[in-house]
Amino acid sequence: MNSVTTLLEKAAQQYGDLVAYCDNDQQVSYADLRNLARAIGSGLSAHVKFGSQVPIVVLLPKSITCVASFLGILYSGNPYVPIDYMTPIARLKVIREVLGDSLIITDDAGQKRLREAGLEALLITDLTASDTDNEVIDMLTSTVMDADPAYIMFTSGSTGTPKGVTVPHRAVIDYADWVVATFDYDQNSVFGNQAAFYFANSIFDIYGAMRCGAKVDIIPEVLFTFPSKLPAYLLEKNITSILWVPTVIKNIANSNALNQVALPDLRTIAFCGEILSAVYMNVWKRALPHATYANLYGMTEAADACCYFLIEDDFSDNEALPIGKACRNMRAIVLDDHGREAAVGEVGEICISGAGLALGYWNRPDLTNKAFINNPLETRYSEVLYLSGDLGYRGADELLYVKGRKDSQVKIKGNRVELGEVECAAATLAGAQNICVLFSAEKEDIVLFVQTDEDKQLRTVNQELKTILPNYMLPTRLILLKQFPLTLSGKIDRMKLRKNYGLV
Amino acid sequence: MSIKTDLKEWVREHFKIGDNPDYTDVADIFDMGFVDSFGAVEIIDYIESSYKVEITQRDIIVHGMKTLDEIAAVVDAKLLD
Repeated sequence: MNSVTTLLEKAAQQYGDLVAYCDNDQQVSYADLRNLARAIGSGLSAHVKFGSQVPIVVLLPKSITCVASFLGILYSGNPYVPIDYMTPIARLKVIREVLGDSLIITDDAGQKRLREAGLEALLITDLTASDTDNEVIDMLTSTVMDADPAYIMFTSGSTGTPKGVTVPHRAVIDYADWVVATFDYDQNSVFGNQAAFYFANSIFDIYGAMRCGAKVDIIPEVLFTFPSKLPAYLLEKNITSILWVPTVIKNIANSNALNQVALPDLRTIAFCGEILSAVYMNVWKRALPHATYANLYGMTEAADACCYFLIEDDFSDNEALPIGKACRNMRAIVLDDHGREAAVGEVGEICISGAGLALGYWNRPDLTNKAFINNPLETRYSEVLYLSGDLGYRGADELLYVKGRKDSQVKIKGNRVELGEVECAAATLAGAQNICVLFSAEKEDIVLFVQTDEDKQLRTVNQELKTILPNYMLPTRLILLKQFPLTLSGKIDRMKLRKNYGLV
Repeated sequence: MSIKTDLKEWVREHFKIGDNPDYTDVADIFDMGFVDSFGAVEIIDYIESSYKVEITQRDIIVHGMKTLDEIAAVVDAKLLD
C-alpha cells in the first residue's frame, strides 16, 4: 500500500494539532481533516465496490469540505474528479460520458441543478455525517498501489470533448517531496492558495503543505478581482509562500500596491501556468528583494511542475525567463521534427518523462497513445515520454526556454484553452453559417468570427455559449462577417483574418 | 447626487459602457466584462480619493463589491462611520 492518504496520515500524526486549512469562515487541523476525510470515505464505502476504481466527481465550491472530499474519496480507494462548481451542466454531462461508471458528490444547490438535468448525486452533508468505520477504510486502502489513479483532472480538448488527465498516487507523492525539499517548507509555512482545485497548480498547495504540516490559506476568490488589495491580505494572514498564475503577479505589479504594504513574511514567490514577462517580476523584486523567486513550468499531465528555475540573477525587463531544469525524478528533453534530440539553441518540442507523469487520458487510449509515447531515444527498454506540444529550446547555458505552442492551444490567465473546443461550441450558435476562433496574445483576446446575416452582439452570443463553455473559454471579441476569406483549397484563410483585423 | 448614482456614471463614462441595458445596479460588472482587473484598481483608487475612505480587503471579502449596489453600500457605510 502506498497512497496519497499516507501523506495525510503522517501529517495527522506529526502535526495533528496544527491548522491545515483556513478559508473564509472556518479552519481545521490536520487531525480534524483526517477524521473528516475518513468519515466521508466511510460514507462512500456503501456506494462503491471494493477495488473497482470508480471516479467520483466533486462538484463543490472551493472550501475545506472540498479538500476533505478529495481525501475521503481516496480513503474509499477511488480516484477523485475535481470540477468547477460553476461548470455548465452540459459540459458536466459530457465529462460524465467520458468517465463512464462514476458518482457525483455535491451540496444542496448543486443537487437541485443536477436533478433538473436528470442527474443524481450524493449529498456532501450526508457523507460528512457518516459514522467513521476505520476497519472499512483500512481495508479499502490496503490494496491501493501508487500506480493507481489518484485523481482525474479535465482539460480542454481540441475536438470539443474535455480530456480526463489521469494522475497516479506516485506522481503526487513524488511532487510533494520535491515541493518541500526545493523551497524548504516546514510546519511554520503558510501557503496563500490562489489556484482553483480543478487546476494543476493546486497540487502544489494541497500536497506540498500536507507533506510538511504547513497551513493552506484559501484566499477568497473575490480578492483576485481587486489585485491592489491582495498584498494587504497576505500581510494580514502572515502568508509566507505563494504559487500563483502570472496574470495575478502581473495585475499586482500594475497596481502599485506592493509599495504600500511591507511583506516581511513572504519568502517564496513562485509562478506557473504561462510565461511571465521579467518586467513584472522586477517590480516585485524591487519591492521584496529578499524573497525567493521561482519560475515553474508544468502541465496537468505531469501532476504540476516538471521544470523549474530559481531566479537568483538579475534579469532585464525584456529578457526571457528560462524554465530552467527538470524537477527531481523528472527529465525534460527537446525533440526535433524527426524525433531526434534538438541541438543547443534549436527549437523543438519539449518532452517529459519521470515519476510525475500521468497515466494518460481516461477512457481515451487513442489520445493517450498519441501524447504518451515510448521514448524514441531509448530503444533498449520502455520509457514513457510525454509530448507536451510546447515548443522550446535548450540554451547554451544548459537551461530550457519555452517558445510557444505546436498547436492551437492557448493560455488565458493560466487556463489551458483549446481553440478547437471554443470552435465546436460556437458552431452550434443559432444563425451562424460559418465560424472561426483566433487568439490575440497581445490582450489575451479570444476572437470569434461569425459568418451570419443576423445582427449579433458578444453578450448575447456568450449567453448562448455559457451553457456549453466555462467562463474562461468565452470569446472576448466578436467580429461579424458576411463572407469569410478562403484559401485556394477552400479553407478559411486564418492568416488573412489575422492580418485584416490586426491580431498578433 | 447619491454615491451610487455618482459611481454608476463615473464607471459608465470611464469604461465606455454607454447606454448598455445590461449595465444595472445588480449586474456583476466584472463577470459581465464591463471592467477588468486593471479597472478594478482604478475603481478603488477613484473611491478612495473622491470620498476619502479606505477600502480594505475585509470590505471586499465580506461584501463582494462586484455590483454597483454592493460597492455603493460599502462606501455609504464607511461615510456614516
